[in-house]
Amino acid sequence: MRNRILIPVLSLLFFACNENKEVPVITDQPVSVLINLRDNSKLLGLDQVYQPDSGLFLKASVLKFYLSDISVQDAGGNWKQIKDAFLYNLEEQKTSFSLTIPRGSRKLSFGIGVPAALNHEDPTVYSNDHPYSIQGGSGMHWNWSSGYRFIIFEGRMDSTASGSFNEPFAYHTGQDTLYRRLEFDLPDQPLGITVDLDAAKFFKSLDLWVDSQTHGTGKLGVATVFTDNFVDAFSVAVAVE
Amino acid sequence: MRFLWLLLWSSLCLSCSVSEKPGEKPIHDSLSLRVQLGKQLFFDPILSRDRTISCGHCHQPELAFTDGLPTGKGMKGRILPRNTPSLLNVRQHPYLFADGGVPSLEMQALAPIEDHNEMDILIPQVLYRLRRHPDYPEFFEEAFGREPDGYSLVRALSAYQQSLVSEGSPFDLFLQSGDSSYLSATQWQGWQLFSGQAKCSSCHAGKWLSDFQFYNLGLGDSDPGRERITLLPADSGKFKTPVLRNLTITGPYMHNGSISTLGEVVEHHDRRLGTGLSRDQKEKIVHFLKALTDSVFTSAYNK
Repeated sequence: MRNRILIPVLSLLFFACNENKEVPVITDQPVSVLINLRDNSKLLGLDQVYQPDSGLFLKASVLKFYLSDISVQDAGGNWKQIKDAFLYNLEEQKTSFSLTIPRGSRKLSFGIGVPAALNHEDPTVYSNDHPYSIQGGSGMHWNWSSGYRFIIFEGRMDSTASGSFNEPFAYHTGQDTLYRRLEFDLPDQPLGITVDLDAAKFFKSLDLWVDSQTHGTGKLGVATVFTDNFVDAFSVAVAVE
Repeated sequence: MRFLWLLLWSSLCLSCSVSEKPGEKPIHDSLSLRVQLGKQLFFDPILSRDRTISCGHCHQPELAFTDGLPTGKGMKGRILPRNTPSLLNVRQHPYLFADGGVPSLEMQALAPIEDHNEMDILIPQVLYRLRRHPDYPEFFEEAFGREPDGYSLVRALSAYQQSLVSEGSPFDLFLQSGDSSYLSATQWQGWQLFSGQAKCSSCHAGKWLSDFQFYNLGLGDSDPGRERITLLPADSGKFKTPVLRNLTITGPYMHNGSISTLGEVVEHHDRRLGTGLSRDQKEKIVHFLKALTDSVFTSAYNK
Protein backbone atom coordinates (compact mmCIF):
# COMPACT_ATOMS: atom_id res chain seq x y z
CA MET A 1 0.00 0.00 0.00
CA ARG A 2 1.17 3.45 -0.73
CA ASN A 3 0.25 6.45 1.19
CA ARG A 4 0.79 9.65 -0.65
CA ILE A 5 -1.24 12.79 -0.46
CA LEU A 6 -0.95 16.30 -1.65
CA ILE A 7 -3.53 18.65 -0.29
CA PRO A 8 -3.55 21.98 -1.96
CA VAL A 9 -5.80 24.11 0.16
CA LEU A 10 -8.17 25.99 -2.03
CA SER A 11 -9.32 29.42 -1.21
CA LEU A 12 -12.79 29.21 0.13
CA LEU A 13 -15.46 31.81 -0.08
CA PHE A 14 -17.91 31.86 2.73
CA PHE A 15 -21.16 33.55 2.27
CA ALA A 16 -22.83 34.92 5.33
CA CYS A 17 -25.65 32.77 6.43
CA ASN A 18 -28.95 34.20 7.23
CA GLU A 19 -29.16 33.89 11.00
CA ASN A 20 -32.80 32.92 10.75
CA LYS A 21 -32.05 29.90 8.63
CA GLU A 22 -30.87 26.56 9.94
CA VAL A 23 -27.28 25.65 9.28
CA PRO A 24 -27.49 22.82 6.73
CA VAL A 25 -26.33 19.47 7.93
CA ILE A 26 -23.35 18.42 5.91
CA THR A 27 -23.76 14.83 4.92
CA ASP A 28 -22.11 12.78 2.22
CA GLN A 29 -19.78 14.71 -0.02
CA PRO A 30 -20.14 14.62 -3.81
CA VAL A 31 -16.67 14.67 -5.26
CA SER A 32 -15.43 14.66 -8.82
CA VAL A 33 -12.36 12.66 -9.73
CA LEU A 34 -10.32 13.84 -12.69
CA ILE A 35 -7.48 11.78 -14.13
CA ASN A 36 -4.80 13.65 -16.07
CA LEU A 37 -2.23 11.91 -18.22
CA ARG A 38 1.06 13.77 -17.94
CA ASP A 39 4.58 13.73 -19.25
CA ASN A 40 6.29 14.82 -16.04
CA SER A 41 4.53 18.11 -15.32
CA LYS A 42 2.99 18.68 -18.78
CA LEU A 43 -0.43 17.42 -19.77
CA LEU A 44 -0.13 14.69 -22.39
CA GLY A 45 -2.69 13.74 -25.02
CA LEU A 46 -2.94 11.05 -27.65
CA ASP A 47 -0.62 11.42 -30.64
CA GLN A 48 1.62 13.89 -28.82
CA VAL A 49 5.31 13.08 -28.91
CA TYR A 50 6.92 12.35 -25.59
CA GLN A 51 10.03 10.64 -24.30
CA PRO A 52 9.58 8.25 -21.37
CA ASP A 53 12.37 6.72 -19.33
CA SER A 54 12.91 4.09 -22.03
CA GLY A 55 14.64 6.74 -24.13
CA LEU A 56 12.65 6.31 -27.34
CA PHE A 57 10.24 8.97 -28.51
CA LEU A 58 6.66 7.72 -28.46
CA LYS A 59 3.18 8.68 -29.54
CA ALA A 60 0.35 7.08 -27.61
CA SER A 61 -2.78 6.04 -29.47
CA VAL A 62 -4.72 4.09 -26.82
CA LEU A 63 -4.75 4.28 -23.05
CA LYS A 64 -7.43 2.39 -21.17
CA PHE A 65 -7.39 0.96 -17.66
CA TYR A 66 -9.72 -0.07 -14.88
CA LEU A 67 -10.06 1.51 -11.48
CA SER A 68 -12.07 -0.89 -9.37
CA ASP A 69 -13.53 -1.51 -5.95
CA ILE A 70 -13.25 2.17 -5.04
CA SER A 71 -13.68 2.19 -1.29
CA VAL A 72 -13.42 4.50 1.70
CA GLN A 73 -12.47 3.79 5.28
CA ASP A 74 -14.29 5.41 8.16
CA ALA A 75 -12.79 6.53 11.48
CA GLY A 76 -13.48 3.11 12.91
CA GLY A 77 -11.34 1.44 10.27
CA ASN A 78 -14.25 -0.08 8.35
CA TRP A 79 -14.06 -0.16 4.57
CA LYS A 80 -17.08 0.49 2.34
CA GLN A 81 -17.20 0.29 -1.45
CA ILE A 82 -18.61 3.47 -3.00
CA LYS A 83 -18.12 2.60 -6.69
CA ASP A 84 -17.45 -0.79 -8.23
CA ALA A 85 -15.56 0.21 -11.36
CA PHE A 86 -14.50 2.98 -13.71
CA LEU A 87 -12.96 2.42 -17.13
CA TYR A 88 -10.59 5.21 -18.10
CA ASN A 89 -10.51 5.63 -21.87
CA LEU A 90 -8.50 8.55 -23.16
CA GLU A 91 -9.63 8.11 -26.76
CA GLU A 92 -13.27 8.43 -25.71
CA GLN A 93 -12.39 11.18 -23.21
CA LYS A 94 -13.70 9.12 -20.32
CA THR A 95 -11.24 10.60 -17.88
CA SER A 96 -13.40 11.66 -14.94
CA PHE A 97 -16.14 10.34 -12.74
CA SER A 98 -17.96 11.29 -9.57
CA LEU A 99 -17.99 9.75 -6.14
CA THR A 100 -20.14 10.28 -3.09
CA ILE A 101 -17.79 10.13 -0.15
CA PRO A 102 -19.44 9.50 3.21
CA ARG A 103 -18.70 12.21 5.73
CA GLY A 104 -15.97 11.23 8.15
CA SER A 105 -14.13 9.04 5.67
CA ARG A 106 -10.43 8.83 6.45
CA LYS A 107 -8.95 6.91 3.54
CA LEU A 108 -9.69 6.25 -0.11
CA SER A 109 -8.57 3.06 -1.81
CA PHE A 110 -8.96 1.66 -5.32
CA GLY A 111 -7.68 -1.19 -7.38
CA ILE A 112 -5.94 -0.95 -10.73
CA GLY A 113 -7.35 -3.84 -12.73
CA VAL A 114 -10.22 -6.15 -11.89
CA PRO A 115 -10.34 -8.03 -8.57
CA ALA A 116 -9.78 -11.77 -8.90
CA ALA A 117 -13.27 -12.48 -7.55
CA LEU A 118 -14.80 -10.70 -10.57
CA ASN A 119 -12.10 -11.15 -13.17
CA HIS A 120 -13.32 -14.52 -14.40
CA GLU A 121 -17.07 -13.99 -14.22
CA ASP A 122 -19.41 -13.91 -17.19
CA PRO A 123 -19.25 -10.40 -18.72
CA THR A 124 -22.65 -10.80 -20.38
CA VAL A 125 -24.52 -10.56 -17.07
CA TYR A 126 -23.73 -6.84 -16.74
CA SER A 127 -25.87 -4.09 -18.24
CA ASN A 128 -24.43 -2.64 -21.45
CA ASP A 129 -23.20 0.55 -19.80
CA HIS A 130 -21.26 -1.22 -17.05
CA PRO A 131 -17.46 -1.15 -17.43
CA TYR A 132 -17.30 -4.92 -17.01
CA SER A 133 -19.86 -5.62 -19.76
CA ILE A 134 -18.82 -6.58 -23.28
CA GLN A 135 -20.14 -3.31 -24.68
CA GLY A 136 -19.18 -1.00 -21.82
CA GLY A 137 -15.87 -2.77 -21.45
CA SER A 138 -14.85 -1.40 -24.82
CA GLY A 139 -12.61 -4.26 -25.81
CA MET A 140 -11.13 -4.90 -22.38
CA HIS A 141 -12.49 -8.44 -22.02
CA TRP A 142 -9.99 -11.14 -22.79
CA ASN A 143 -12.33 -13.91 -23.78
CA TRP A 144 -9.76 -16.65 -24.46
CA SER A 145 -8.94 -16.79 -20.76
CA SER A 146 -12.21 -15.48 -19.33
CA GLY A 147 -10.65 -12.40 -17.80
CA TYR A 148 -10.09 -8.72 -18.46
CA ARG A 149 -7.23 -6.66 -19.67
CA PHE A 150 -6.35 -4.36 -16.79
CA ILE A 151 -4.34 -1.80 -18.75
CA ILE A 152 -4.01 -1.17 -22.49
CA PHE A 153 -1.32 1.23 -23.61
CA GLU A 154 -0.59 1.33 -27.34
CA GLY A 155 1.05 3.65 -29.80
CA ARG A 156 4.02 4.01 -32.11
CA MET A 157 7.67 4.63 -31.41
CA ASP A 158 10.40 6.37 -33.34
CA SER A 159 12.79 3.44 -33.32
CA THR A 160 15.13 4.92 -35.93
CA ALA A 161 15.27 8.45 -34.52
CA SER A 162 13.99 9.66 -37.87
CA GLY A 163 10.74 11.13 -36.68
CA SER A 164 8.81 8.50 -38.60
CA PHE A 165 7.27 6.61 -35.65
CA ASN A 166 7.40 3.46 -37.70
CA GLU A 167 7.23 0.79 -34.99
CA PRO A 168 4.11 -0.07 -32.98
CA PHE A 169 4.16 -0.86 -29.30
CA ALA A 170 1.31 -2.53 -27.41
CA TYR A 171 1.20 -3.29 -23.71
CA HIS A 172 -1.83 -5.27 -22.57
CA THR A 173 -1.72 -6.45 -18.99
CA GLY A 174 -4.14 -8.69 -17.16
CA GLN A 175 -4.02 -11.78 -14.93
CA ASP A 176 -4.89 -11.86 -11.25
CA THR A 177 -1.28 -11.54 -10.15
CA LEU A 178 -1.10 -8.08 -11.75
CA TYR A 179 -3.97 -6.59 -9.76
CA ARG A 180 -2.74 -3.72 -7.60
CA ARG A 181 -4.29 -1.41 -5.01
CA LEU A 182 -3.51 2.13 -3.97
CA GLU A 183 -4.57 3.86 -0.77
CA PHE A 184 -4.62 7.56 0.12
CA ASP A 185 -5.48 9.63 3.18
CA LEU A 186 -8.59 11.75 2.86
CA PRO A 187 -8.92 15.14 4.48
CA ASP A 188 -12.16 16.39 6.00
CA GLN A 189 -14.64 17.65 3.46
CA PRO A 190 -12.85 16.88 0.19
CA LEU A 191 -14.06 18.94 -2.74
CA GLY A 192 -12.36 17.24 -5.63
CA ILE A 193 -9.71 14.68 -6.42
CA THR A 194 -7.14 15.08 -9.16
CA VAL A 195 -5.17 12.01 -10.19
CA ASP A 196 -2.01 12.64 -12.18
CA LEU A 197 -0.64 9.74 -14.17
CA ASP A 198 2.92 10.34 -15.28
CA ALA A 199 3.50 8.49 -18.55
CA ALA A 200 7.20 9.26 -18.33
CA LYS A 201 7.47 6.50 -15.72
CA PHE A 202 5.66 3.75 -17.64
CA PHE A 203 8.70 2.10 -19.20
CA LYS A 204 11.28 2.49 -16.46
CA SER A 205 13.70 -0.49 -16.57
CA LEU A 206 12.06 -1.73 -19.77
CA ASP A 207 13.63 -1.80 -23.20
CA LEU A 208 11.09 -1.07 -25.89
CA TRP A 209 13.60 -2.16 -28.50
CA VAL A 210 13.39 -5.66 -27.09
CA ASP A 211 9.93 -5.76 -25.58
CA SER A 212 7.63 -3.69 -27.74
CA GLN A 213 4.64 -5.88 -26.86
CA THR A 214 3.18 -7.86 -24.02
CA HIS A 215 -0.21 -9.50 -24.07
CA GLY A 216 -0.33 -10.98 -20.63
CA THR A 217 1.30 -14.31 -21.33
CA GLY A 218 4.76 -15.27 -22.34
CA LYS A 219 6.19 -12.03 -21.03
CA LEU A 220 4.76 -11.93 -17.55
CA GLY A 221 7.98 -10.40 -16.21
CA VAL A 222 7.67 -7.48 -18.61
CA ALA A 223 3.98 -7.06 -17.79
CA THR A 224 4.80 -7.08 -14.09
CA VAL A 225 7.45 -4.36 -14.41
CA PHE A 226 5.11 -2.27 -16.54
CA THR A 227 2.27 -2.72 -14.05
CA ASP A 228 4.43 -1.64 -11.13
CA ASN A 229 5.69 1.35 -13.11
CA PHE A 230 2.11 2.25 -13.97
CA VAL A 231 1.07 2.13 -10.33
CA ASP A 232 4.10 4.20 -9.36
CA ALA A 233 3.05 6.82 -11.91
CA PHE A 234 -0.06 7.71 -9.89
CA SER A 235 -0.15 10.74 -7.63
CA VAL A 236 -3.26 12.13 -6.06
CA ALA A 237 -4.16 15.64 -4.96
CA VAL A 238 -7.28 16.32 -2.93
CA ALA A 239 -8.80 19.77 -2.89
CA VAL A 240 -10.48 20.70 0.38
CA GLU A 241 -12.68 23.40 1.72
CA MET B 1 -16.75 -61.96 -16.26
CA ARG B 2 -17.96 -59.15 -18.52
CA PHE B 3 -20.60 -58.19 -15.97
CA LEU B 4 -17.90 -57.92 -13.32
CA TRP B 5 -15.98 -55.59 -15.62
CA LEU B 6 -19.06 -53.46 -16.04
CA LEU B 7 -19.62 -53.26 -12.30
CA LEU B 8 -16.02 -52.22 -11.73
CA TRP B 9 -16.14 -49.67 -14.52
CA SER B 10 -19.47 -48.26 -13.41
CA SER B 11 -18.17 -47.65 -9.92
CA LEU B 12 -15.09 -46.02 -11.41
CA CYS B 13 -17.30 -43.83 -13.53
CA LEU B 14 -19.27 -42.74 -10.51
CA SER B 15 -16.14 -41.66 -8.72
CA CYS B 16 -14.48 -40.04 -11.70
CA SER B 17 -17.23 -38.54 -13.76
CA VAL B 18 -17.71 -34.82 -13.74
CA SER B 19 -21.19 -33.92 -12.65
CA GLU B 20 -23.26 -31.21 -14.23
CA LYS B 21 -22.94 -27.82 -12.68
CA PRO B 22 -25.34 -27.36 -9.78
CA GLY B 23 -28.36 -25.26 -10.58
CA GLU B 24 -27.93 -25.54 -14.31
CA LYS B 25 -30.69 -27.32 -16.11
CA PRO B 26 -29.44 -29.21 -19.13
CA ILE B 27 -31.40 -28.51 -22.22
CA HIS B 28 -32.27 -31.70 -24.08
CA ASP B 29 -35.42 -30.51 -25.72
CA SER B 30 -34.60 -29.84 -29.34
CA LEU B 31 -37.87 -27.95 -29.67
CA SER B 32 -36.84 -25.38 -27.16
CA LEU B 33 -36.95 -21.93 -28.64
CA ARG B 34 -33.53 -21.13 -27.26
CA VAL B 35 -32.09 -24.24 -28.84
CA GLN B 36 -33.73 -23.38 -32.16
CA LEU B 37 -32.45 -19.83 -31.98
CA GLY B 38 -29.00 -21.07 -31.03
CA LYS B 39 -28.99 -23.50 -33.94
CA GLN B 40 -29.96 -20.77 -36.39
CA LEU B 41 -27.19 -18.53 -35.05
CA PHE B 42 -24.67 -21.38 -35.03
CA PHE B 43 -25.01 -21.88 -38.77
CA ASP B 44 -25.46 -18.22 -39.70
CA PRO B 45 -22.40 -16.39 -41.12
CA ILE B 46 -23.83 -13.17 -39.75
CA LEU B 47 -21.52 -13.90 -36.83
CA SER B 48 -18.36 -13.30 -38.89
CA ARG B 49 -16.98 -9.97 -40.02
CA ASP B 50 -17.24 -10.65 -43.77
CA ARG B 51 -20.30 -12.89 -43.40
CA THR B 52 -18.49 -15.86 -44.92
CA ILE B 53 -18.20 -18.32 -42.04
CA SER B 54 -20.38 -19.51 -39.19
CA CYS B 55 -19.61 -21.65 -36.15
CA GLY B 56 -20.60 -24.60 -38.32
CA HIS B 57 -17.74 -23.81 -40.70
CA CYS B 58 -15.35 -25.53 -38.29
CA HIS B 59 -17.88 -27.53 -36.29
CA GLN B 60 -19.49 -29.63 -39.03
CA PRO B 61 -22.28 -31.93 -37.81
CA GLU B 62 -21.42 -34.74 -40.22
CA LEU B 63 -17.93 -34.90 -38.68
CA ALA B 64 -19.24 -34.92 -35.11
CA PHE B 65 -18.84 -31.13 -35.11
CA THR B 66 -15.17 -31.14 -36.13
CA ASP B 67 -13.67 -30.23 -39.52
CA GLY B 68 -11.31 -33.05 -40.48
CA LEU B 69 -8.31 -30.73 -40.54
CA PRO B 70 -5.15 -30.82 -38.41
CA THR B 71 -5.97 -27.32 -37.18
CA GLY B 72 -8.98 -25.20 -37.97
CA LYS B 73 -9.31 -22.50 -40.61
CA GLY B 74 -10.95 -19.22 -39.78
CA MET B 75 -12.11 -16.30 -41.86
CA LYS B 76 -10.19 -15.83 -45.10
CA GLY B 77 -8.56 -19.23 -44.53
CA ARG B 78 -6.49 -18.08 -41.57
CA ILE B 79 -4.86 -21.08 -39.94
CA LEU B 80 -5.81 -21.60 -36.30
CA PRO B 81 -3.33 -22.98 -33.78
CA ARG B 82 -5.30 -25.97 -32.54
CA ASN B 83 -7.36 -28.92 -33.69
CA THR B 84 -11.11 -28.24 -33.76
CA PRO B 85 -12.75 -30.09 -30.86
CA SER B 86 -15.99 -32.03 -31.21
CA LEU B 87 -19.01 -30.38 -29.64
CA LEU B 88 -20.97 -33.56 -29.03
CA ASN B 89 -21.63 -33.90 -25.29
CA VAL B 90 -19.75 -30.65 -24.73
CA ARG B 91 -22.15 -29.81 -21.91
CA GLN B 92 -20.32 -32.42 -19.86
CA HIS B 93 -17.04 -30.50 -19.98
CA PRO B 94 -16.18 -28.64 -16.76
CA TYR B 95 -14.21 -26.08 -18.76
CA LEU B 96 -13.66 -25.35 -22.44
CA PHE B 97 -10.70 -25.14 -24.81
CA ALA B 98 -7.74 -27.50 -24.78
CA ASP B 99 -6.09 -25.30 -22.16
CA GLY B 100 -9.22 -25.13 -19.99
CA GLY B 101 -9.18 -21.34 -20.08
CA VAL B 102 -12.92 -20.77 -20.13
CA PRO B 103 -15.35 -22.16 -17.55
CA SER B 104 -18.68 -22.15 -19.41
CA LEU B 105 -20.22 -22.50 -22.84
CA GLU B 106 -21.69 -19.04 -22.48
CA MET B 107 -18.29 -17.43 -22.01
CA GLN B 108 -16.71 -19.68 -24.62
CA ALA B 109 -19.04 -18.33 -27.29
CA LEU B 110 -17.40 -14.91 -27.07
CA ALA B 111 -13.94 -16.11 -28.00
CA PRO B 112 -14.27 -17.44 -31.58
CA ILE B 113 -16.56 -14.60 -32.59
CA GLU B 114 -14.09 -11.92 -31.52
CA ASP B 115 -10.87 -13.77 -32.35
CA HIS B 116 -9.08 -12.10 -35.27
CA ASN B 117 -8.19 -15.45 -36.83
CA GLU B 118 -11.65 -16.95 -36.50
CA MET B 119 -14.73 -14.79 -37.04
CA ASP B 120 -13.02 -11.46 -36.40
CA ILE B 121 -15.93 -9.33 -35.29
CA LEU B 122 -16.68 -7.55 -32.04
CA ILE B 123 -19.75 -8.61 -30.11
CA PRO B 124 -21.29 -5.10 -30.23
CA GLN B 125 -21.01 -5.22 -34.02
CA VAL B 126 -22.74 -8.60 -34.12
CA LEU B 127 -25.50 -7.25 -31.89
CA TYR B 128 -25.90 -4.25 -34.19
CA ARG B 129 -26.51 -6.64 -37.09
CA LEU B 130 -28.88 -8.85 -35.14
CA ARG B 131 -31.01 -5.95 -33.91
CA ARG B 132 -31.51 -4.75 -37.47
CA HIS B 133 -32.20 -8.19 -38.89
CA PRO B 134 -35.79 -8.78 -40.13
CA ASP B 135 -36.29 -11.91 -38.00
CA TYR B 136 -33.83 -12.12 -35.14
CA PRO B 137 -35.28 -9.41 -32.84
CA GLU B 138 -38.63 -11.21 -32.68
CA PHE B 139 -36.92 -14.59 -32.27
CA PHE B 140 -34.83 -13.30 -29.38
CA GLU B 141 -37.89 -11.72 -27.80
CA GLU B 142 -39.77 -15.03 -27.96
CA ALA B 143 -36.85 -17.05 -26.66
CA PHE B 144 -35.49 -14.72 -23.99
CA GLY B 145 -37.98 -11.89 -23.57
CA ARG B 146 -35.29 -9.39 -24.53
CA GLU B 147 -33.65 -7.96 -27.60
CA PRO B 148 -30.43 -9.44 -28.96
CA ASP B 149 -27.74 -8.60 -26.45
CA GLY B 150 -24.61 -10.23 -25.14
CA TYR B 151 -26.53 -12.16 -22.53
CA SER B 152 -29.09 -13.68 -24.89
CA LEU B 153 -26.65 -14.26 -27.76
CA VAL B 154 -24.25 -16.43 -25.79
CA ARG B 155 -27.06 -18.26 -24.01
CA ALA B 156 -28.74 -19.14 -27.28
CA LEU B 157 -25.48 -20.55 -28.66
CA SER B 158 -24.91 -22.38 -25.39
CA ALA B 159 -28.42 -23.84 -25.43
CA TYR B 160 -27.87 -25.33 -28.87
CA GLN B 161 -24.51 -26.79 -27.93
CA GLN B 162 -25.95 -28.24 -24.73
CA SER B 163 -28.51 -30.03 -26.87
CA LEU B 164 -25.79 -31.91 -28.76
CA VAL B 165 -25.99 -35.17 -26.87
CA SER B 166 -24.66 -38.37 -28.37
CA GLU B 167 -24.88 -41.46 -26.21
CA GLY B 168 -25.56 -44.13 -28.79
CA SER B 169 -22.16 -45.63 -29.45
CA PRO B 170 -21.74 -49.39 -28.84
CA PHE B 171 -19.65 -48.51 -25.77
CA ASP B 172 -22.41 -46.21 -24.45
CA LEU B 173 -25.03 -48.88 -25.03
CA PHE B 174 -22.82 -51.36 -23.20
CA LEU B 175 -22.42 -48.96 -20.26
CA GLN B 176 -26.13 -48.21 -20.15
CA SER B 177 -27.33 -51.80 -20.37
CA GLY B 178 -24.51 -53.93 -19.09
CA ASP B 179 -24.93 -55.99 -22.23
CA SER B 180 -21.43 -56.69 -23.51
CA SER B 181 -22.76 -57.99 -26.79
CA TYR B 182 -22.81 -54.42 -28.01
CA LEU B 183 -19.04 -54.85 -28.34
CA SER B 184 -17.43 -57.40 -30.62
CA ALA B 185 -15.05 -59.90 -29.07
CA THR B 186 -12.06 -57.95 -30.39
CA GLN B 187 -13.46 -54.68 -29.08
CA TRP B 188 -14.05 -56.28 -25.71
CA GLN B 189 -10.44 -57.43 -25.57
CA GLY B 190 -9.35 -53.95 -26.59
CA TRP B 191 -11.44 -52.46 -23.82
CA GLN B 192 -9.80 -54.74 -21.29
CA LEU B 193 -6.38 -53.66 -22.50
CA PHE B 194 -7.46 -50.00 -22.54
CA SER B 195 -8.54 -50.14 -18.93
CA GLY B 196 -5.73 -52.43 -17.85
CA GLN B 197 -2.28 -53.12 -19.23
CA ALA B 198 -2.23 -50.19 -21.64
CA LYS B 199 -2.91 -47.72 -18.81
CA CYS B 200 -5.13 -45.58 -21.06
CA SER B 201 -7.72 -45.31 -18.31
CA SER B 202 -5.27 -43.63 -15.96
CA CYS B 203 -6.30 -40.45 -17.81
CA HIS B 204 -9.17 -41.58 -20.02
CA ALA B 205 -11.43 -42.41 -17.12
CA GLY B 206 -15.11 -42.16 -16.29
CA LYS B 207 -18.09 -42.36 -18.59
CA TRP B 208 -16.60 -39.87 -21.04
CA LEU B 209 -13.16 -41.43 -20.89
CA SER B 210 -11.57 -38.20 -19.69
CA ASP B 211 -10.38 -37.06 -16.30
CA PHE B 212 -10.42 -33.48 -17.64
CA GLN B 213 -6.93 -32.94 -16.26
CA PHE B 214 -3.95 -31.52 -18.13
CA TYR B 215 -0.93 -33.44 -19.43
CA ASN B 216 2.08 -32.84 -21.62
CA LEU B 217 2.19 -35.62 -24.18
CA GLY B 218 5.53 -34.61 -25.61
CA LEU B 219 4.29 -33.48 -28.99
CA GLY B 220 6.99 -30.86 -29.07
CA ASP B 221 5.22 -27.84 -30.52
CA SER B 222 5.44 -24.25 -29.31
CA ASP B 223 1.90 -24.02 -27.92
CA PRO B 224 2.19 -23.14 -24.20
CA GLY B 225 -1.06 -25.00 -23.45
CA ARG B 226 -2.25 -24.74 -19.89
CA GLU B 227 0.64 -22.44 -19.00
CA ARG B 228 -1.07 -19.71 -20.99
CA ILE B 229 -3.82 -19.72 -18.39
CA THR B 230 -2.03 -20.50 -15.14
CA LEU B 231 1.30 -18.83 -16.02
CA LEU B 232 2.99 -21.74 -14.26
CA PRO B 233 6.04 -23.10 -16.12
CA ALA B 234 5.11 -26.56 -14.84
CA ASP B 235 2.00 -26.37 -17.02
CA SER B 236 3.94 -25.73 -20.21
CA GLY B 237 2.66 -27.86 -23.07
CA LYS B 238 -0.12 -29.43 -21.02
CA PHE B 239 -3.53 -29.96 -22.58
CA LYS B 240 -6.86 -31.28 -21.36
CA THR B 241 -7.50 -34.99 -21.71
CA PRO B 242 -10.01 -35.16 -24.55
CA VAL B 243 -13.32 -36.94 -24.29
CA LEU B 244 -13.17 -40.10 -26.41
CA ARG B 245 -16.21 -40.37 -28.65
CA ASN B 246 -16.82 -40.57 -32.39
CA LEU B 247 -13.12 -41.05 -33.03
CA THR B 248 -13.57 -42.64 -36.43
CA ILE B 249 -14.78 -39.31 -37.84
CA THR B 250 -12.89 -36.75 -35.74
CA GLY B 251 -9.31 -37.22 -36.89
CA PRO B 252 -6.64 -36.05 -37.12
CA TYR B 253 -5.89 -36.25 -33.44
CA MET B 254 -4.15 -34.47 -30.55
CA HIS B 255 -4.39 -30.76 -29.72
CA ASN B 256 -2.44 -29.82 -32.84
CA GLY B 257 -3.82 -32.49 -35.15
CA SER B 258 -0.34 -33.89 -35.60
CA ILE B 259 -1.31 -37.58 -35.58
CA SER B 260 -3.40 -38.87 -38.44
CA THR B 261 -4.66 -42.27 -37.37
CA LEU B 262 -5.86 -44.00 -34.24
CA GLY B 263 -3.15 -46.63 -34.68
CA GLU B 264 -0.48 -43.94 -34.55
CA VAL B 265 -2.08 -42.44 -31.45
CA VAL B 266 -1.91 -45.78 -29.69
CA GLU B 267 1.71 -46.18 -30.84
CA HIS B 268 2.57 -42.75 -29.46
CA HIS B 269 1.11 -43.52 -26.05
CA ASP B 270 2.69 -46.99 -25.99
CA ARG B 271 6.14 -45.45 -26.53
CA ARG B 272 5.53 -42.66 -24.02
CA LEU B 273 4.19 -44.91 -21.28
CA GLY B 274 6.48 -47.84 -22.00
CA THR B 275 3.61 -50.29 -21.82
CA GLY B 276 5.22 -52.73 -24.24
CA LEU B 277 2.06 -53.64 -26.11
CA SER B 278 2.27 -56.13 -28.94
CA ARG B 279 1.07 -55.22 -32.41
CA ASP B 280 -1.99 -57.40 -31.89
CA GLN B 281 -2.82 -55.70 -28.60
CA LYS B 282 -2.55 -52.24 -30.16
CA GLU B 283 -4.87 -53.29 -32.95
CA LYS B 284 -7.39 -54.52 -30.40
CA ILE B 285 -7.31 -51.15 -28.65
CA VAL B 286 -7.94 -49.43 -31.98
CA HIS B 287 -10.91 -51.74 -32.51
CA PHE B 288 -12.23 -50.70 -29.11
CA LEU B 289 -11.79 -47.01 -29.96
CA LYS B 290 -13.93 -47.57 -33.04
CA ALA B 291 -16.72 -48.75 -30.75
CA LEU B 292 -16.94 -45.20 -29.40
CA THR B 293 -18.63 -43.80 -32.50
CA ASP B 294 -22.34 -43.05 -32.33
CA SER B 295 -23.30 -44.00 -35.87
CA VAL B 296 -26.98 -43.28 -35.24
CA PHE B 297 -26.30 -39.65 -34.40
CA THR B 298 -23.72 -39.08 -37.09
CA SER B 299 -25.62 -40.88 -39.85
CA ALA B 300 -28.63 -38.68 -39.14
CA TYR B 301 -26.52 -35.68 -40.15
CA ASN B 302 -25.03 -37.48 -43.14
CA LYS B 303 -28.38 -38.14 -44.75
